[in-house]
Amino acid sequence: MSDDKTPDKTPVKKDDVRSEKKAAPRPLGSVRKRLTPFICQELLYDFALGTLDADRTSAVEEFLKNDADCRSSLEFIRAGLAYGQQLNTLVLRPDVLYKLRAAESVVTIGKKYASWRGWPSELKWSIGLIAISLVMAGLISLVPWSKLEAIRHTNSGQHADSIELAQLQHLAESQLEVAQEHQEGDSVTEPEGSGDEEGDGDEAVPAIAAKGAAGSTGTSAASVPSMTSVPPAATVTASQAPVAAVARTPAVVAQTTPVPKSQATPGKAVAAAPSVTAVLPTAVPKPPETVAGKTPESAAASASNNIAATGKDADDGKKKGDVKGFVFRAFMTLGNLEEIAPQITDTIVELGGSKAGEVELGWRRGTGRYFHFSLPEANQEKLMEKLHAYGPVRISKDPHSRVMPEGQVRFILWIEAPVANK
Amino acid sequence: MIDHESVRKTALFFLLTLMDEAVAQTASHKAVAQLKSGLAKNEIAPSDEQLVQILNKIYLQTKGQVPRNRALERPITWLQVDDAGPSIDAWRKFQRDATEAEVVAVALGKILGIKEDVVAAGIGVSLGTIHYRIGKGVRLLGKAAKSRESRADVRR
Repeated sequence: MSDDKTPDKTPVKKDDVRSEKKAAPRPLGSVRKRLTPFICQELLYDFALGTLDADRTSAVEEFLKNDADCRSSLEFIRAGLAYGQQLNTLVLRPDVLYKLRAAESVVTIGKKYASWRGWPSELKWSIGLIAISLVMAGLISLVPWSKLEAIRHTNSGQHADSIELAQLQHLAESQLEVAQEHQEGDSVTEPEGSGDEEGDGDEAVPAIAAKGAAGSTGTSAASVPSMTSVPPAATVTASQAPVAAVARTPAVVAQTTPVPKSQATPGKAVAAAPSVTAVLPTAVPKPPETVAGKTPESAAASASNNIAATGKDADDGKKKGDVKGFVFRAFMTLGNLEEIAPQITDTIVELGGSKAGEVELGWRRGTGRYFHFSLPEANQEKLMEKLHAYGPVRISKDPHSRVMPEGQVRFILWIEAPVANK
Repeated sequence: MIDHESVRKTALFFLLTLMDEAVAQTASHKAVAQLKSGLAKNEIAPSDEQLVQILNKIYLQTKGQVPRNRALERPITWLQVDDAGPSIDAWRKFQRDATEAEVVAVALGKILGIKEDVVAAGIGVSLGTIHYRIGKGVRLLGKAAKSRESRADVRR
């Protein structure tokens, strides 16, 4: 502010005036400086480009009038600029450029495949499938399948191990039962028909075995004629017979067949020859169709169908109840059965016994008599005493799936006539 | 991906500066790969300065594979056969007469058409240096071109 108030009082020095004069830009045109050839040569490129200011341009133009070297240099420069522009128009082969354009480096390849989108589709699918396979393998290896199986069985109320044990037990007992019945059937059975196929479940096993064998073999010449020799009195049909053991495996049936026939007579060659037909007569009385005139093959087939149909139910019953009960099987060989059989029937009735199956007490089968009854347990000893009075009694207590009421026992008594009487 | 013009400039630069197709192909391949790796995402063309940097760097790495100041007489097969196109005989002479720096400066500044300041920044020298190199190189190039023209005229 003080400078503004007293501008006129401040003395102006001469040096300052000179410096102002020096600092002020001096126009190029005001100084006519003569160009040298060297400077002109250096300015020619800019002169050719037209980037020089007007003073220098005029100076160069003026100098070029008198200097041939500079003129030729200027021509070279202009020719060089023109040639350079021509070179820029050179056309390279497209295939060369295409190859160069596809050039890749580690970095570019890395960039290219850094993102999932840049991957080839084949690689994507392969990796995807491998990943899925690995995940599946991991799941399969990690899942405790054995525990899951145990849990599944636990939830269904059964345990895998217990199931297996039960089946083994069932099979063993079934085999035992079948074997015993077959033994009984062999010892009791005659070719004309005997045994306890009366129809309460397990008694028909030998018969079924025979039926199954007949049905399966189909051409058992020994069995066919015997089927037609059924007594008309046999009214129990195959469907009525509870064939519990029918559905058992063929192995069970097969095991029943080789049982030696202790009672087989020489005249029973039909029963003795093939093991399957050995017990076939026991099955013959059952199906009325066979009596009614069906061919033996079709009868055997229908019987085997009935077996297959009822076998499942019987098997289910076996699985549920299994062998908690028992049955007494008694066997006697007595003569004069026509008189003794009614007496035994009366004795059983007197002791409180009642028939347990479908047929009446003392049912006639061939030359034997069949008694299937339940009896108060208290009278068991008395019955045995009475039976002993007629002759020797072989008795066995067999396990059975059917459980009798408390205080009751079940008997299957088979009395056959002596061989001589037959 | 890189644009076609950048590839063409790269190939032309190495073809003219090295004058050996095999070496030029190797250098161009390397340069294009580096240019591509230097591209940002969704970018297809490098900047001029980036182009100059990589071309100069690759040139310095590969120039030792060709004889210095000796124009190769091998035929150039990269060029399209076009009679109307310019001859590179003058360039051969220029390459023999000029320095490496002048050749590079002229190739970048006057043939590829890159601005001098960008060339200077890419190479790492001052603008005046590049301006001087280009001026001198253009003069030599014109001289070579003139001499080729005069020879052609004499032959005619």
